[in-house]
Amino acid sequence: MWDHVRALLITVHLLAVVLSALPAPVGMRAQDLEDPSFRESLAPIHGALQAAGYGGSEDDLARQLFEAGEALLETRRTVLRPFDLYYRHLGTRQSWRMFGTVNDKPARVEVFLDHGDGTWAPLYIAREPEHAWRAHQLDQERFRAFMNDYSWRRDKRSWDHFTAWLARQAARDFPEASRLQALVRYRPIPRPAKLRELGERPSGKAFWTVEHDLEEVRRELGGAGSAAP
Amino acid sequence: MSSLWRRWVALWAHREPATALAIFRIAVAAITTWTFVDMVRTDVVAPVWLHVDHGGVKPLLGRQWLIEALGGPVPEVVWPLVWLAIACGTVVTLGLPWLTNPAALVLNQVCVALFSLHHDAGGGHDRIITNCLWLLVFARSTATLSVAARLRTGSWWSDERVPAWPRYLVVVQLALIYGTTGWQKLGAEWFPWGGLDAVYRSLLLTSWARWDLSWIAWLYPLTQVATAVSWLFESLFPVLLLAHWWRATRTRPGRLRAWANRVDLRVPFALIGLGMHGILWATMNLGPFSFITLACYVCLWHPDELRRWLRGRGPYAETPPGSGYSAEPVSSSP
Repeated sequence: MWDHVRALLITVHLLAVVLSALPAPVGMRAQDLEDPSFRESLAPIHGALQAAGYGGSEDDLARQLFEAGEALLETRRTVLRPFDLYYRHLGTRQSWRMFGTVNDKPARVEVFLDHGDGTWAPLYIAREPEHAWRAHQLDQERFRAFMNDYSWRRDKRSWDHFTAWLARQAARDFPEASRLQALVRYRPIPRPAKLRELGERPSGKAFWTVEHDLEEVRRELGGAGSAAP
Repeated sequence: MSSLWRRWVALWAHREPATALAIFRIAVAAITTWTFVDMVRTDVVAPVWLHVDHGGVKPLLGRQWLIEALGGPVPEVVWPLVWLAIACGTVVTLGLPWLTNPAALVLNQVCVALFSLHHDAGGGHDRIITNCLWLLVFARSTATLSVAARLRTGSWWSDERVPAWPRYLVVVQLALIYGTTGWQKLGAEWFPWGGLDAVYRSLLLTSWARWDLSWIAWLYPLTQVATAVSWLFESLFPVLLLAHWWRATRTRPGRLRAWANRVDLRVPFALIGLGMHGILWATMNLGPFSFITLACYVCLWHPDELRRWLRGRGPYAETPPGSGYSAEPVSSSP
């Protein structure tokens, strides 16, 4: 009897994990249809379909794929609903979309500090060992995970919270400093031949530049900054 | 249909020595424990898992039932959970008598709770950890290589046979992770028409690179090969489920079955996986991802094979009489 119960429970587990793991365009957004990497992948498929008699344009195909994706996601939601508690409470959810598309316009976080002399001095620049303020935290993989969203220019609200946190830490760490500036800077990836010629990655434009008045931050912290090293 | 169900029931009723599950237990628990220790060491717990009012980066909702019941993402809740995770991880690693399976369940629940706090600050490794811990809740993995075995038998090694199904489910889990990752790599950069430059570009992503890897441009052709190999490795990995079935039914006819058993497909897949994760670990900071994935590899092998390797003998060496092991590489179970 127990053998049958065990086999049944394992079958339910397998159904839950396999169904959850099946590929689905979770997180798909309408604007992704214009993504160059997606378009690059779509072009040969469109060409093959045209050769097989498909009459629509590449835009038509993209729209039809998007609609099919939405329908698939709706079906998926319905199918997975009975297992929802199992996923949520026991950590059995399956989602393995890792490096599905590689960021073609990566960017990095840069932080600067005004020590009170009116100039910006680099404080933290991702992957530059000479500017490694709080690198033990900022380079830890959990920080990297949410900082990676900024590299995709995603989640501006999170960026605002993050830079406010940076300002609080800087206000404590540098009692003499007056301002903190944080930004995300594009770091385009050149073709290999170009990169060999340049020797290092070029820097591009910055976005999401914010400044924090550290005096104000200290006032909000209730003077905690003055006691810090 | 009833015959099929009987065979299905019999498959999950297999028993085998606990060596593979014991090594899996030690690896998963040690890696999970290290994940928390590393967060404490690098002073990341407070900014990542506490509400902004308590030193965190973001205002966290903390709607997960355990966090909510205990009082939300505040230091009085989060820190005890972190220490509890480290304690439970240690218990599971050591394999203490009576406590290991309950500790695996507690560790699973603490991980689910803490990992849910700041969703964007996690990754695939968090889900691998919780899935592996859930299987360890049911595995009789302390039958060998544990304090429990030592106290019970006077030896670290024991030949006690335990249910094999948790090991089979680890193999399925590994196949799901790799297979569905590969099948969802749809960016043109993974394919010849996109130049096969996914690995080249991934290594240059500042978010994950350990340091500036601009010199990789000199090795561009190698990165193209690595791109193709990675995609094929991941997408084809579920074939190993079939290979396990062929190994379990090795006496049946079929040229493909005979070829797969002669080649032992697990070896090339494991070697490529080791190389891939080794390079990932050396060049990119993806947290415990490489190690927790590799921890599952041990379940690809039958405990009889592992025992022979651990004892420094060839895979076809004679086993001592009465050891409970077959001299065949694998008998009737996958």
